[in-house]
Amino acid sequence: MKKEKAKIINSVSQLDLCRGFERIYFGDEFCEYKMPSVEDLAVLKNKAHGKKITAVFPYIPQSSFKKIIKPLDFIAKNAQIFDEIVFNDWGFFYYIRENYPDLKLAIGRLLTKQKTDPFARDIILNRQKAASLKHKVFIPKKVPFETLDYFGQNAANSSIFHKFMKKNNIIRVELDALAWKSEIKLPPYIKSSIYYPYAKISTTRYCGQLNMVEKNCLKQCEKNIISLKKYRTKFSYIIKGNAIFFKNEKSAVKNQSDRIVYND
Amino acid sequence: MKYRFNITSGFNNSGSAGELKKAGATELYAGFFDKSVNGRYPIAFNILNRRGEDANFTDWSDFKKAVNSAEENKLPVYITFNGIYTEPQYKLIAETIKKVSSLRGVKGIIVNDIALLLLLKQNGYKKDIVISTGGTVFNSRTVAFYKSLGAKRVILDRQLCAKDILEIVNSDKSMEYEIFAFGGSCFFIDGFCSFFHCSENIDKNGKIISTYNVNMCETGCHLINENILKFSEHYKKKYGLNAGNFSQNMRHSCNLCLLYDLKNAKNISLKIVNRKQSTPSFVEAVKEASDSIDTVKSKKEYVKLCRKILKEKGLFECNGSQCFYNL
Repeated sequence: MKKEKAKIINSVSQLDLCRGFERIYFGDEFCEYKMPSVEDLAVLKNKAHGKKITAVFPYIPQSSFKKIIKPLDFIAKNAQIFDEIVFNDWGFFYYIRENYPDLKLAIGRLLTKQKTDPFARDIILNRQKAASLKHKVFIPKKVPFETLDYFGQNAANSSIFHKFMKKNNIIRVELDALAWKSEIKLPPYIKSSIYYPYAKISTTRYCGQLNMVEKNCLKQCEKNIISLKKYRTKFSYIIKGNAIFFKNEKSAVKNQSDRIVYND
Repeated sequence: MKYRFNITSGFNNSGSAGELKKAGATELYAGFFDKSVNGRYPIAFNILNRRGEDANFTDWSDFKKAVNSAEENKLPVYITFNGIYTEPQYKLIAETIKKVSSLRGVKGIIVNDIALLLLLKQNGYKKDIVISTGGTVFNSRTVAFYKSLGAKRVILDRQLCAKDILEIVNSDKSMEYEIFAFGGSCFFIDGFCSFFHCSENIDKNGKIISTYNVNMCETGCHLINENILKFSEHYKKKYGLNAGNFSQNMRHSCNLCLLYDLKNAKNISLKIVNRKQSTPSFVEAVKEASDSIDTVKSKKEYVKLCRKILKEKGLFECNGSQCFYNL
Protein backbone atom coordinates (compact mmCIF):
# COMPACT_ATOMS: atom_id res chain seq x y z
CA MET A 1 0.00 0.00 0.00
CA LYS A 2 1.30 3.44 -0.90
CA LYS A 3 1.75 5.53 2.20
CA GLU A 4 1.30 9.27 2.26
CA LYS A 5 4.19 11.01 3.99
CA ALA A 6 3.28 13.83 6.36
CA LYS A 7 5.40 16.04 8.60
CA ILE A 8 4.17 17.59 11.83
CA ILE A 9 5.33 21.10 12.77
CA ASN A 10 3.97 23.68 15.21
CA SER A 11 5.44 26.89 13.84
CA VAL A 12 5.47 28.45 10.39
CA SER A 13 9.21 28.99 10.85
CA GLN A 14 9.55 25.20 10.48
CA LEU A 15 7.91 25.08 7.03
CA ASP A 16 11.24 24.27 5.36
CA LEU A 17 11.21 20.94 7.19
CA CYS A 18 8.15 19.93 5.15
CA ARG A 19 10.00 19.77 1.82
CA GLY A 20 9.62 16.31 0.33
CA PHE A 21 6.45 15.58 2.30
CA GLU A 22 3.02 15.34 0.73
CA ARG A 23 1.05 16.71 3.68
CA ILE A 24 1.63 19.10 6.56
CA TYR A 25 0.34 18.49 10.07
CA PHE A 26 0.22 21.85 11.83
CA GLY A 27 -0.25 22.36 15.56
CA ASP A 28 0.38 20.29 18.65
CA GLU A 29 -1.27 17.35 20.37
CA PHE A 30 -0.19 18.15 23.90
CA CYS A 31 0.17 21.88 24.49
CA GLU A 32 -2.49 24.58 24.57
CA TYR A 33 0.21 27.21 23.89
CA LYS A 34 1.04 25.60 20.56
CA MET A 35 -2.47 25.60 19.13
CA PRO A 36 -2.71 26.94 15.57
CA SER A 37 -3.44 30.68 15.47
CA VAL A 38 -5.30 32.46 12.68
CA GLU A 39 -2.10 34.34 11.79
CA ASP A 40 -0.15 31.10 11.38
CA LEU A 41 -2.94 29.48 9.41
CA ALA A 42 -3.05 32.47 7.04
CA VAL A 43 0.70 32.16 6.40
CA LEU A 44 0.34 28.44 5.82
CA LYS A 45 -2.49 28.96 3.39
CA ASN A 46 -0.20 31.04 1.21
CA LYS A 47 2.95 28.99 1.57
CA ALA A 48 1.71 25.41 1.50
CA HIS A 49 2.28 25.16 -2.27
CA GLY A 50 -0.68 22.94 -2.90
CA LYS A 51 -0.04 20.58 -0.01
CA LYS A 52 -3.02 19.60 2.09
CA ILE A 53 -2.88 20.60 5.73
CA THR A 54 -4.14 18.75 8.78
CA ALA A 55 -4.73 21.11 11.73
CA VAL A 56 -3.75 19.51 15.04
CA PHE A 57 -5.29 20.51 18.36
CA PRO A 58 -4.41 19.43 21.92
CA TYR A 59 -6.56 18.93 25.02
CA ILE A 60 -7.96 22.30 25.96
CA PRO A 61 -8.52 23.62 29.50
CA GLN A 62 -11.58 25.78 30.13
CA SER A 63 -9.62 29.03 30.21
CA SER A 64 -8.14 28.41 26.75
CA PHE A 65 -11.27 27.15 25.08
CA LYS A 66 -12.20 30.52 23.60
CA LYS A 67 -8.90 30.50 21.67
CA ILE A 68 -10.21 27.83 19.30
CA ILE A 69 -13.09 29.87 17.89
CA LYS A 70 -11.22 32.07 15.38
CA PRO A 71 -8.89 29.33 14.09
CA LEU A 72 -11.87 27.02 13.57
CA ASP A 73 -13.71 29.73 11.63
CA PHE A 74 -10.66 30.18 9.43
CA ILE A 75 -10.26 26.44 8.89
CA ALA A 76 -13.94 26.05 8.01
CA LYS A 77 -13.68 28.85 5.44
CA ASN A 78 -10.55 27.28 3.92
CA ALA A 79 -11.49 23.61 4.19
CA GLN A 80 -10.15 22.90 0.69
CA ILE A 81 -6.63 23.35 2.08
CA PHE A 82 -7.20 22.52 5.76
CA ASP A 83 -9.06 19.36 4.97
CA GLU A 84 -8.74 17.55 8.33
CA ILE A 85 -8.66 18.38 12.02
CA VAL A 86 -6.98 16.16 14.60
CA PHE A 87 -8.74 16.40 17.97
CA ASN A 88 -7.41 15.27 21.34
CA ASP A 89 -10.25 16.65 23.46
CA TRP A 90 -13.83 15.38 23.46
CA GLY A 91 -15.16 18.87 24.26
CA PHE A 92 -13.37 20.28 21.23
CA PHE A 93 -14.83 17.45 19.14
CA TYR A 94 -18.31 18.21 20.47
CA TYR A 95 -17.92 21.93 19.76
CA ILE A 96 -16.95 21.17 16.14
CA ARG A 97 -19.87 18.78 15.69
CA GLU A 98 -22.27 21.42 17.00
CA ASN A 99 -20.86 24.30 14.98
CA TYR A 100 -19.01 22.92 11.96
CA PRO A 101 -20.61 19.55 11.20
CA ASP A 102 -19.04 19.33 7.73
CA LEU A 103 -15.43 19.42 8.93
CA LYS A 104 -13.62 16.12 8.61
CA LEU A 105 -12.06 14.85 11.79
CA ALA A 106 -9.26 12.57 12.89
CA ILE A 107 -9.21 11.17 16.41
CA GLY A 108 -5.86 12.03 18.01
CA ARG A 109 -3.30 9.78 19.64
CA LEU A 110 -4.33 10.82 23.15
CA LEU A 111 -7.85 9.53 22.56
CA THR A 112 -7.02 6.30 20.76
CA LYS A 113 -5.63 5.16 24.11
CA GLN A 114 -2.98 2.70 22.99
CA LYS A 115 -0.76 1.11 25.58
CA THR A 116 2.67 2.35 24.55
CA ASP A 117 5.14 2.14 27.46
CA PRO A 118 8.02 -0.08 26.27
CA PHE A 119 8.65 -1.05 29.89
CA ALA A 120 5.79 -3.55 29.45
CA ARG A 121 7.42 -5.31 26.51
CA ASP A 122 9.42 -8.03 28.27
CA ILE A 123 6.61 -8.59 30.76
CA ILE A 124 3.73 -9.12 28.32
CA LEU A 125 5.91 -11.09 25.88
CA ASN A 126 6.95 -13.39 28.76
CA ARG A 127 10.61 -12.57 28.19
CA GLN A 128 11.49 -11.71 31.77
CA LYS A 129 14.14 -13.79 33.47
CA ALA A 130 14.30 -14.58 37.16
CA ALA A 131 16.05 -11.84 39.14
CA SER A 132 17.52 -11.68 42.61
CA LEU A 133 17.76 -8.85 45.09
CA LYS A 134 18.67 -8.82 48.78
CA HIS A 135 18.67 -12.62 49.15
CA LYS A 136 15.29 -12.93 47.44
CA VAL A 137 14.58 -14.53 44.08
CA PHE A 138 11.88 -13.12 41.84
CA ILE A 139 10.30 -15.60 39.46
CA PRO A 140 8.21 -14.15 36.62
CA LYS A 141 4.57 -15.26 36.43
CA LYS A 142 3.31 -16.18 32.98
CA VAL A 143 1.26 -13.44 31.37
CA PRO A 144 -1.81 -14.80 29.51
CA PHE A 145 -2.12 -14.47 25.74
CA GLU A 146 -5.30 -12.39 26.12
CA THR A 147 -3.29 -9.71 27.90
CA LEU A 148 -0.76 -9.48 25.08
CA ASP A 149 -3.63 -9.19 22.63
CA TYR A 150 -5.15 -6.42 24.77
CA PHE A 151 -1.92 -4.43 24.72
CA GLY A 152 -1.96 -4.45 20.91
CA GLN A 153 -5.45 -2.93 20.61
CA ASN A 154 -6.70 0.66 20.49
CA ALA A 155 -9.95 2.34 21.48
CA ALA A 156 -11.09 2.75 17.86
CA ASN A 157 -11.12 -0.98 17.07
CA SER A 158 -14.63 -1.82 18.29
CA SER A 159 -17.60 -2.06 15.94
CA ILE A 160 -19.84 0.26 17.98
CA PHE A 161 -17.09 2.89 17.83
CA HIS A 162 -16.92 2.53 14.04
CA LYS A 163 -20.60 3.49 13.81
CA PHE A 164 -19.98 6.44 16.10
CA MET A 165 -17.08 7.61 13.91
CA LYS A 166 -19.11 7.33 10.73
CA LYS A 167 -22.01 9.26 12.24
CA ASN A 168 -19.69 12.02 13.43
CA ASN A 169 -17.55 12.54 10.33
CA ILE A 170 -14.43 11.02 11.92
CA ILE A 171 -12.55 9.74 8.92
CA ARG A 172 -9.16 8.89 10.39
CA VAL A 173 -7.48 7.43 13.47
CA GLU A 174 -4.03 8.60 14.65
CA LEU A 175 -1.86 5.85 16.13
CA ASP A 176 1.60 4.98 17.38
CA ALA A 177 3.87 2.16 16.29
CA LEU A 178 4.24 -0.07 19.34
CA ALA A 179 7.13 -2.07 20.74
CA TRP A 180 5.03 -5.21 20.21
CA LYS A 181 2.49 -6.40 17.65
CA SER A 182 -0.46 -4.08 17.28
CA GLU A 183 -3.78 -4.64 15.60
CA ILE A 184 -5.71 -2.03 13.65
CA LYS A 185 -9.28 -3.13 12.94
CA LEU A 186 -11.03 -0.44 10.94
CA PRO A 187 -13.70 -0.48 8.24
CA PRO A 188 -12.65 0.70 4.75
CA TYR A 189 -14.17 4.16 5.27
CA ILE A 190 -11.86 4.88 8.25
CA LYS A 191 -8.13 5.36 7.54
CA SER A 192 -5.24 5.39 9.96
CA SER A 193 -1.94 7.24 10.41
CA ILE A 194 1.16 6.03 12.22
CA TYR A 195 3.46 8.50 13.95
CA TYR A 196 7.17 7.93 13.56
CA PRO A 197 9.64 7.72 15.22
CA TYR A 198 8.33 9.09 18.54
CA ALA A 199 5.53 7.15 20.22
CA LYS A 200 3.80 9.12 22.96
CA ILE A 201 3.59 7.71 26.47
CA SER A 202 2.27 10.48 28.69
CA THR A 203 1.73 14.20 29.10
CA THR A 204 1.32 16.74 31.88
CA ARG A 205 0.29 20.34 32.40
CA TYR A 206 3.03 20.68 35.04
CA CYS A 207 5.27 21.26 32.07
CA GLY A 208 7.77 23.58 33.73
CA GLN A 209 8.63 20.77 36.10
CA LEU A 210 8.77 17.95 33.56
CA ASN A 211 10.95 19.76 31.06
CA MET A 212 12.67 21.64 33.87
CA VAL A 213 12.18 25.12 32.44
CA GLU A 214 10.16 26.28 35.46
CA LYS A 215 7.20 28.61 35.09
CA ASN A 216 6.17 31.27 32.54
CA CYS A 217 5.85 29.65 29.17
CA LEU A 218 8.14 31.21 26.61
CA LYS A 219 8.20 27.94 24.67
CA GLN A 220 11.67 27.27 26.08
CA CYS A 221 10.90 23.57 25.97
CA GLU A 222 11.35 23.62 22.20
CA LYS A 223 15.06 24.23 22.66
CA ASN A 224 15.86 20.82 24.09
CA ILE A 225 14.88 17.24 23.57
CA ILE A 226 15.94 15.49 26.74
CA SER A 227 16.82 11.84 26.54
CA LEU A 228 16.72 10.58 30.09
CA LYS A 229 19.78 8.69 31.13
CA LYS A 230 19.26 4.97 31.07
CA TYR A 231 19.55 4.53 34.80
CA ARG A 232 18.03 1.09 35.43
CA THR A 233 16.02 1.23 32.21
CA LYS A 234 16.39 -0.63 28.93
CA PHE A 235 14.72 2.14 26.96
CA SER A 236 15.39 5.84 26.90
CA TYR A 237 12.39 7.92 27.83
CA ILE A 238 12.42 11.16 25.90
CA ILE A 239 11.00 14.47 27.08
CA LYS A 240 9.80 16.70 24.26
CA GLY A 241 7.83 19.70 25.49
CA ASN A 242 5.22 18.59 27.99
CA ALA A 243 5.10 14.97 26.90
CA ILE A 244 7.08 11.76 27.28
CA PHE A 245 7.93 9.56 24.32
CA PHE A 246 9.99 6.58 23.38
CA LYS A 247 11.82 6.45 20.09
CA ASN A 248 10.67 3.49 18.07
CA GLU A 249 13.62 2.48 15.92
CA LYS A 250 11.56 -0.04 13.95
CA SER A 251 10.28 1.02 10.56
CA ALA A 252 6.72 2.30 10.50
CA VAL A 253 6.24 1.07 6.94
CA LYS A 254 5.12 -2.47 7.79
CA ASN A 255 1.53 -1.87 8.78
CA GLN A 256 -1.80 -1.28 7.10
CA SER A 257 -1.93 2.48 7.73
CA ASP A 258 -2.01 4.65 4.64
CA ARG A 259 -0.09 7.55 6.17
CA ILE A 260 3.10 8.07 8.18
CA VAL A 261 3.39 11.24 10.24
CA TYR A 262 7.03 12.05 10.86
CA ASN A 263 7.44 13.69 14.22
CA ASP A 264 11.23 13.96 14.57
CA MET B 1 -24.57 19.86 60.42
CA LYS B 2 -25.50 19.65 56.74
CA TYR B 3 -22.50 18.88 54.58
CA ARG B 4 -21.35 21.57 52.20
CA PHE B 5 -19.80 19.00 49.87
CA ASN B 6 -20.45 15.31 49.33
CA ILE B 7 -17.45 13.28 50.45
CA THR B 8 -16.83 10.26 48.23
CA SER B 9 -14.48 7.69 49.66
CA GLY B 10 -12.97 4.55 48.23
CA PHE B 11 -13.48 1.30 50.15
CA ASN B 12 -12.34 -2.27 49.65
CA ASN B 13 -13.60 -4.28 52.59
CA SER B 14 -16.98 -5.07 54.00
CA GLY B 15 -16.13 -3.85 57.49
CA SER B 16 -15.24 -0.27 56.65
CA ALA B 17 -18.54 1.33 55.63
CA GLY B 18 -19.60 2.19 59.20
CA GLU B 19 -16.22 3.66 60.03
CA LEU B 20 -16.18 5.77 56.87
CA LYS B 21 -19.70 7.01 57.60
CA LYS B 22 -18.63 8.01 61.09
CA ALA B 23 -15.61 9.84 59.65
CA GLY B 24 -17.86 11.89 57.38
CA ALA B 25 -18.16 10.04 54.07
CA THR B 26 -21.46 10.54 52.26
CA GLU B 27 -20.83 8.21 49.31
CA LEU B 28 -18.50 5.31 48.54
CA TYR B 29 -16.88 3.82 45.48
CA ALA B 30 -15.24 0.46 44.89
CA GLY B 31 -14.05 -1.90 42.19
CA PHE B 32 -15.24 -5.43 41.58
CA PHE B 33 -14.05 -8.15 39.23
CA ASP B 34 -14.32 -11.84 39.93
CA LYS B 35 -10.87 -13.34 40.60
CA SER B 36 -11.38 -15.77 37.72
CA VAL B 37 -10.62 -12.95 35.24
CA ASN B 38 -7.01 -13.01 36.46
CA GLY B 39 -6.48 -15.95 34.13
CA ARG B 40 -7.01 -13.68 31.14
CA TYR B 41 -6.47 -10.10 32.32
CA PRO B 42 -4.43 -9.94 35.53
CA ILE B 43 -6.03 -7.37 37.83
CA ALA B 44 -2.49 -6.19 38.68
CA PHE B 45 -2.14 -4.68 35.20
CA ASN B 46 -5.05 -2.26 35.71
CA ILE B 47 -6.71 -3.48 32.54
CA LEU B 48 -10.30 -3.93 33.67
CA ASN B 49 -10.05 -1.26 36.34
CA ARG B 50 -7.60 1.57 36.74
CA ARG B 51 -6.39 0.42 40.14
CA GLY B 52 -4.83 -2.94 40.84
CA GLU B 53 -5.11 -5.83 43.25
CA ASP B 54 -5.35 -3.84 46.48
CA ALA B 55 -8.22 -1.70 45.34
CA ASN B 56 -10.76 -4.19 44.03
CA PHE B 57 -13.17 -6.70 45.50
CA THR B 58 -12.63 -10.07 43.83
CA ASP B 59 -15.13 -12.19 45.75
CA TRP B 60 -18.85 -11.71 45.05
CA SER B 61 -20.09 -12.56 48.54
CA ASP B 62 -17.60 -10.12 50.14
CA PHE B 63 -18.60 -7.46 47.68
CA LYS B 64 -22.31 -8.01 48.23
CA LYS B 65 -21.82 -7.88 52.00
CA ALA B 66 -19.87 -4.62 51.63
CA VAL B 67 -22.53 -2.98 49.45
CA ASN B 68 -25.26 -4.12 51.86
CA SER B 69 -23.30 -2.69 54.77
CA ALA B 70 -22.95 0.61 52.91
CA GLU B 71 -26.68 0.61 52.25
CA GLU B 72 -27.41 0.04 55.95
CA ASN B 73 -25.25 3.10 56.63
CA LYS B 74 -27.14 5.09 53.96
CA LEU B 75 -24.03 5.41 51.82
CA PRO B 76 -24.72 5.04 48.08
CA VAL B 77 -22.01 3.09 46.24
CA TYR B 78 -20.51 3.66 42.79
CA ILE B 79 -18.62 0.84 41.09
CA THR B 80 -15.64 1.50 38.84
CA PHE B 81 -15.53 0.14 35.31
CA ASN B 82 -12.93 2.64 34.28
CA GLY B 83 -10.64 0.66 32.01
CA ILE B 84 -10.33 1.04 28.26
CA TYR B 85 -11.92 -2.07 26.83
CA THR B 86 -11.67 -4.08 23.64
CA GLU B 87 -14.24 -5.99 21.60
CA PRO B 88 -13.53 -9.40 23.25
CA GLN B 89 -14.01 -7.82 26.70
CA TYR B 90 -17.38 -6.10 26.27
CA LYS B 91 -19.42 -9.24 27.03
CA LEU B 92 -17.58 -9.72 30.35
CA ILE B 93 -17.91 -6.02 31.20
CA ALA B 94 -21.62 -5.89 30.33
CA GLU B 95 -22.35 -8.99 32.42
CA THR B 96 -20.40 -7.65 35.39
CA ILE B 97 -22.14 -4.28 35.18
CA LYS B 98 -25.52 -6.03 35.11
CA LYS B 99 -24.58 -8.16 38.12
CA VAL B 100 -23.29 -5.32 40.32
CA SER B 101 -26.10 -2.98 39.29
CA SER B 102 -28.66 -5.53 40.47
CA LEU B 103 -27.69 -4.67 44.05
CA ARG B 104 -29.97 -2.01 45.53
CA GLY B 105 -27.06 -0.26 47.28
CA VAL B 106 -25.24 0.38 44.00
CA LYS B 107 -26.20 3.84 42.80
CA GLY B 108 -24.21 3.80 39.59
CA ILE B 109 -21.01 3.05 37.76
CA ILE B 110 -17.84 5.01 36.98
CA VAL B 111 -16.70 4.67 33.37
CA ASN B 112 -14.67 6.41 30.68
CA ASP B 113 -14.54 4.11 27.66
CA ILE B 114 -16.52 5.78 24.86
CA ALA B 115 -17.59 2.50 23.27
CA LEU B 116 -18.84 1.29 26.66
CA LEU B 117 -20.82 4.51 27.09
CA LEU B 118 -22.35 3.97 23.65
CA LEU B 119 -23.27 0.39 24.62
CA LEU B 120 -24.80 1.52 27.92
CA LYS B 121 -26.85 4.12 26.07
CA GLN B 122 -27.94 1.59 23.46
CA ASN B 123 -28.98 -0.85 26.19
CA GLY B 124 -30.81 1.83 28.22
CA TYR B 125 -28.72 1.52 31.41
CA LYS B 126 -30.90 2.85 34.23
CA LYS B 127 -28.55 3.72 37.11
CA ASP B 128 -26.22 6.73 37.32
CA ILE B 129 -23.21 7.03 35.03
CA VAL B 130 -20.19 8.88 36.37
CA ILE B 131 -17.32 9.79 34.06
CA SER B 132 -13.99 8.75 35.55
CA THR B 133 -10.93 10.98 35.63
CA GLY B 134 -9.84 8.81 32.71
CA GLY B 135 -12.42 10.76 30.71
CA THR B 136 -10.04 13.80 30.77
CA VAL B 137 -12.61 16.50 31.44
CA PHE B 138 -10.86 19.86 31.06
CA ASN B 139 -13.74 22.04 29.86
CA SER B 140 -17.51 22.50 29.90
CA ARG B 141 -17.97 21.25 26.32
CA THR B 142 -16.50 17.91 27.36
CA VAL B 143 -19.10 17.83 30.14
CA ALA B 144 -21.80 18.45 27.50
CA PHE B 145 -20.36 15.65 25.34
CA TYR B 146 -20.50 13.12 28.18
CA LYS B 147 -23.98 14.33 29.16
CA SER B 148 -25.09 13.55 25.61
CA LEU B 149 -23.86 9.98 26.20
CA GLY B 150 -25.91 9.64 29.39
CA ALA B 151 -23.52 10.82 32.13
CA LYS B 152 -24.98 12.34 35.29
CA ARG B 153 -21.69 13.26 36.94
CA VAL B 154 -18.14 13.95 35.75
CA ILE B 155 -14.91 13.72 37.68
CA LEU B 156 -12.75 16.69 36.71
CA ASP B 157 -9.11 16.19 35.86
CA ARG B 158 -6.59 16.96 38.60
CA GLN B 159 -4.68 19.40 36.38
CA LEU B 160 -7.15 22.27 36.41
CA CYS B 161 -7.26 25.43 38.53
CA ALA B 162 -10.03 26.79 40.80
CA LYS B 163 -11.14 29.36 38.19
CA ASP B 164 -11.57 26.66 35.54
CA ILE B 165 -13.39 24.37 37.98
CA LEU B 166 -15.85 27.12 38.92
CA GLU B 167 -16.51 28.02 35.28
CA ILE B 168 -17.14 24.38 34.44
CA VAL B 169 -19.45 23.62 37.38
CA ASN B 170 -21.42 26.81 36.80
CA SER B 171 -21.86 26.14 33.09
CA ASP B 172 -24.34 23.31 33.63
CA LYS B 173 -25.89 23.14 37.08
CA SER B 174 -27.99 20.11 36.18
CA MET B 175 -24.81 18.02 36.20
CA GLU B 176 -22.92 16.73 39.24
CA TYR B 177 -19.17 17.19 39.55
CA GLU B 178 -16.45 15.46 41.50
CA ILE B 179 -12.95 16.68 42.27
CA PHE B 180 -10.00 15.08 44.01
CA ALA B 181 -9.70 16.10 47.63
CA PHE B 182 -7.12 13.80 49.08
CA GLY B 183 -4.88 10.85 48.33
CA GLY B 184 -2.67 9.43 45.64
CA SER B 185 -1.46 11.88 43.11
CA CYS B 186 0.41 11.71 39.87
CA PHE B 187 2.52 14.10 37.92
CA PHE B 188 0.92 13.06 34.64
CA ILE B 189 -2.63 13.38 33.30
CA ASP B 190 -4.34 10.19 34.40
CA GLY B 191 -6.53 9.65 31.35
CA PHE B 192 -3.76 10.39 28.86
CA CYS B 193 -1.10 8.30 30.52
CA SER B 194 0.01 4.95 29.19
CA PHE B 195 2.87 4.27 31.57
CA PHE B 196 2.77 0.62 32.50
CA HIS B 197 1.87 -0.13 36.11
CA CYS B 198 1.88 -3.42 37.92
CA SER B 199 -0.18 -3.04 41.11
CA GLU B 200 0.39 -6.43 42.61
CA ASN B 201 0.16 -7.91 46.08
CA ILE B 202 3.22 -10.06 46.62
CA ASP B 203 4.48 -11.95 49.62
CA LYS B 204 7.45 -9.78 50.55
CA ASN B 205 8.49 -12.12 53.35
CA GLY B 206 9.13 -15.13 51.16
CA LYS B 207 12.56 -15.91 49.72
CA ILE B 208 11.17 -16.99 46.37
CA ILE B 209 8.63 -14.52 45.06
CA SER B 210 6.35 -15.15 42.12
CA THR B 211 5.57 -11.87 40.36
CA TYR B 212 4.46 -10.33 37.06
CA ASN B 213 7.23 -7.74 37.30
CA VAL B 214 10.63 -9.00 38.42
CA ASN B 215 11.69 -5.37 38.80
CA MET B 216 9.37 -5.27 41.81
CA CYS B 217 7.34 -2.12 42.05
CA GLU B 218 9.44 -0.18 39.56
CA THR B 219 7.62 1.10 36.50
CA GLY B 220 8.31 3.70 33.83
CA CYS B 221 7.15 6.84 35.61
CA HIS B 222 9.07 5.96 38.77
CA LEU B 223 12.18 5.53 36.67
CA ILE B 224 11.65 8.93 35.07
CA ASN B 225 11.47 10.44 38.53
CA GLU B 226 14.65 8.61 39.59
CA ASN B 227 16.46 9.58 36.41
CA ILE B 228 15.56 13.25 36.68
CA LEU B 229 16.65 13.42 40.30
CA LYS B 230 19.83 11.39 39.80
CA PHE B 231 20.97 13.44 36.82
CA SER B 232 19.72 16.85 37.90
CA GLU B 233 23.28 18.23 38.06
CA HIS B 234 23.96 16.92 34.56
CA TYR B 235 20.83 18.61 33.21
CA LYS B 236 21.73 21.82 34.96
CA LYS B 237 25.24 21.82 33.47
CA LYS B 238 24.29 20.69 29.98
CA TYR B 239 21.00 22.52 29.46
CA GLY B 240 20.76 25.00 32.34
CA LEU B 241 17.61 23.22 33.46
CA ASN B 242 16.21 23.04 36.95
CA ALA B 243 15.25 19.50 37.95
CA GLY B 244 14.71 20.25 41.62
CA ASN B 245 10.94 20.28 41.88
CA PHE B 246 9.79 17.41 39.68
CA SER B 247 8.89 14.94 42.37
CA GLN B 248 6.63 17.21 44.42
CA ASN B 249 3.57 16.04 42.57
CA MET B 250 4.38 12.35 42.59
CA ARG B 251 3.21 11.79 46.15
CA HIS B 252 0.10 12.24 48.23
CA SER B 253 -1.70 15.45 47.46
CA CYS B 254 -4.70 17.31 48.77
CA ASN B 255 -6.86 20.28 47.83
CA LEU B 256 -8.13 21.35 51.25
CA CYS B 257 -7.13 25.00 50.75
CA LEU B 258 -8.93 25.13 47.42
CA LEU B 259 -12.27 24.27 49.05
CA TYR B 260 -12.46 27.85 50.32
CA ASP B 261 -12.52 29.12 46.71
CA LEU B 262 -15.23 26.60 45.82
CA LYS B 263 -17.42 27.26 48.84
CA ASN B 264 -20.36 28.62 46.83
CA ALA B 265 -20.52 25.71 44.41
CA LYS B 266 -23.51 23.50 45.22
CA ASN B 267 -22.91 20.41 43.13
CA ILE B 268 -19.41 19.19 43.94
CA SER B 269 -18.36 15.92 45.53
CA LEU B 270 -14.91 15.51 47.03
CA LYS B 271 -13.09 12.32 46.16
CA ILE B 272 -10.77 10.56 48.59
CA VAL B 273 -8.41 8.44 46.51
CA ASN B 274 -7.51 5.87 49.07
CA ARG B 275 -8.70 2.43 50.06
CA LYS B 276 -6.54 1.65 53.05
CA GLN B 277 -6.69 1.63 56.82
CA SER B 278 -5.76 5.31 56.80
CA THR B 279 -8.76 6.28 54.62
CA PRO B 280 -11.04 7.32 57.53
CA SER B 281 -8.39 9.84 58.67
CA PHE B 282 -8.36 11.37 55.20
CA VAL B 283 -12.16 11.56 55.22
CA GLU B 284 -12.12 13.18 58.67
CA ALA B 285 -9.59 15.78 57.51
CA VAL B 286 -11.65 16.71 54.47
CA LYS B 287 -14.86 16.92 56.51
CA GLU B 288 -13.24 19.00 59.23
CA ALA B 289 -11.77 21.42 56.69
CA SER B 290 -15.01 21.64 54.75
CA ASP B 291 -17.07 22.24 57.91
CA SER B 292 -14.71 25.05 58.96
CA ILE B 293 -15.18 27.20 55.88
CA ASP B 294 -17.98 29.27 57.40
CA THR B 295 -16.26 29.76 60.73
CA VAL B 296 -13.03 31.38 59.48
CA LYS B 297 -12.58 35.06 58.75
CA SER B 298 -10.31 34.80 55.73
CA LYS B 299 -8.67 32.40 53.31
CA LYS B 300 -5.36 32.96 55.09
CA GLU B 301 -6.89 31.76 58.34
CA TYR B 302 -8.49 28.83 56.53
CA VAL B 303 -5.18 27.73 54.97
CA LYS B 304 -3.54 27.88 58.38
CA LEU B 305 -6.34 25.74 59.79
CA CYS B 306 -6.00 23.17 56.98
CA ARG B 307 -2.28 22.81 57.68
CA LYS B 308 -3.05 22.30 61.34
CA ILE B 309 -5.61 19.59 60.54
CA LEU B 310 -3.13 17.76 58.30
CA LYS B 311 -0.43 17.88 60.93
CA GLU B 312 -2.65 16.89 63.85
CA LYS B 313 -3.98 13.87 62.00
CA GLY B 314 -0.45 12.84 61.04
CA LEU B 315 -1.32 12.85 57.32
CA PHE B 316 1.53 15.00 56.11
CA GLU B 317 3.38 18.23 56.78
CA CYS B 318 2.10 20.64 54.15
CA ASN B 319 4.82 22.57 52.35
CA GLY B 320 2.42 24.30 49.99
CA SER B 321 3.45 22.34 46.92
CA GLN B 322 1.67 18.98 47.17
CA CYS B 323 -1.58 20.26 45.78
CA PHE B 324 -4.20 19.09 43.34
CA TYR B 325 -5.50 21.83 41.05
CA ASN B 326 -2.57 24.20 41.63
CA LEU B 327 -2.00 25.26 38.03
